[in-house]
Amino acid sequence: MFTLIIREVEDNRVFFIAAVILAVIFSILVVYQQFYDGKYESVESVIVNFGTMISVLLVMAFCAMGAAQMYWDKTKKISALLATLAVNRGQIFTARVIAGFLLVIIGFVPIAETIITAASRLGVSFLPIHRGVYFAILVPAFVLGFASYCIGLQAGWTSNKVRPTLGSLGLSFILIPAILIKGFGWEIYAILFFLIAACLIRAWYKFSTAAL
Amino acid sequence: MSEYAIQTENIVKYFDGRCVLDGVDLRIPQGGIYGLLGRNGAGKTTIIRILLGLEPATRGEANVLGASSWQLPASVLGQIGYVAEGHNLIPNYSVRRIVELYKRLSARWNEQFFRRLLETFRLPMERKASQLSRGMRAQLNLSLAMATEPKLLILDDPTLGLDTVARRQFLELAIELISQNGRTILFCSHILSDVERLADRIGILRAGKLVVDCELDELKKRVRKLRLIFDGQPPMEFPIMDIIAQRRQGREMTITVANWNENKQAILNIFKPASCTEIPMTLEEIFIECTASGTDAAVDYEQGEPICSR
Repeated sequence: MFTLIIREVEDNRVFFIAAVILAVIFSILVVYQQFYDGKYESVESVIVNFGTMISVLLVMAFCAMGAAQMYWDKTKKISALLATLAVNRGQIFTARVIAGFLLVIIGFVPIAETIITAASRLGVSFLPIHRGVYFAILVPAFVLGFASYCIGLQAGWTSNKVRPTLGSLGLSFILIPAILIKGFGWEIYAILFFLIAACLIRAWYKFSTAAL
Repeated sequence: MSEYAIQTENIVKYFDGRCVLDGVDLRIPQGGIYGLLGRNGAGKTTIIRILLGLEPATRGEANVLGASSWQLPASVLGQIGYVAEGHNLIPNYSVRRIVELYKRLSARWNEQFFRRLLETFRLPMERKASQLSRGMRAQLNLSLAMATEPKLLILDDPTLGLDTVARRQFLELAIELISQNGRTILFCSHILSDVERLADRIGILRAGKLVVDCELDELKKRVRKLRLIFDGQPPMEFPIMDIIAQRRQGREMTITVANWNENKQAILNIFKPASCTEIPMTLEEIFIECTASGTDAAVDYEQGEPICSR
């Protein structure tokens, strides 16, 4: 399993590198804007501005990686080779999802760290009051990232290039208005978890029943 | 464990409404070397892909090393070596990376044997799979499959793309592998002399049906090609079952008959041919007779008994 995860990470290293680079760039930009641009805006402002920017980034990067994993597998017949070694389809798929989960963590952790540090710098006294705010925003954002990845995963199992790209991105961008409409709360968790479960089941069904 | 390494029951496969496999019952005993033959599109690769769980069957049951082929556990997959037709390799991986992947994901790995194969074939380790020639890809695929020391080795046209020297090297390696007891080999090839040299049992697929499934010697014994010369014109119809092919030219008639036995000999004697000579047949000639279609010589076998089966 470890070999399969490493293989997925190596094959999709461009996404991991891009996620880290973008996260760092966005973090630097936001910190610079909020602290050294003479504005000194509130914690809420930092989080809202920042959250909007990273939402788009998350949706695009994670969704693209999910779609790319499945698309390249199908077109390069990677699983057709792996499935003749001592691994089964379940292990290949699990390794793929774990790699996607790792990407979401790698892309997300520096950004989350920046938000918390920025908030701390702006006023320690706010922290106890706003601790719930971090949780309410960061966790759904993380789940949103993983949901975007799962959408890409289920849309990517095709040999058509246009469908996974536009289809998955279109589906993913519906998630952002959903958060804006529903706000942060248990409803959005329910929607995202339902979406993740549905996408994973659908992706697994396609992958497990397809001719490799 | 079952006495058969591979066992299928009534395997049917349709592609877009077209029947590719039509009720194939295949049984390959443990330790056997089975040569599966058939013309292009006869269903050889499809049945192999079904056996490996790469393709679902429309109907029927397939078992490999005691496990259902559609849900082969990793432990069973680890005992199977496979060389795919067209030599499937991940195109953007270097040879070294593919080898590393095989080493890590295989249940067994014989490094010493693999090194020997690499030296024999002189494969460039740093080159990407997409940059390898067809022959090199075949050699790499064979080396990888053999280094995993499989209990069951499935070779789908393994010598396709190999030059004469490399093909001979492969055959020698295959014979060495076969000499190690307990290995079961399923071998598809269009080079029938290779199959004749390696296989102890032959299966011939024709239009998705397994029309031959027996030992090579038995096949040669049971399929007879006879040259008959009559005093007058040869009879228009012979009431003999299992005629695979027949040709008439003047007073001479050539027939190829399957499942030859005393009854058929007795029926033939009724027509009192002036002379009856048996023409020895190679596997290639038997194969051509069994699979030729759309020619005057071919007799439609779809309604008949299998040409030779257990």
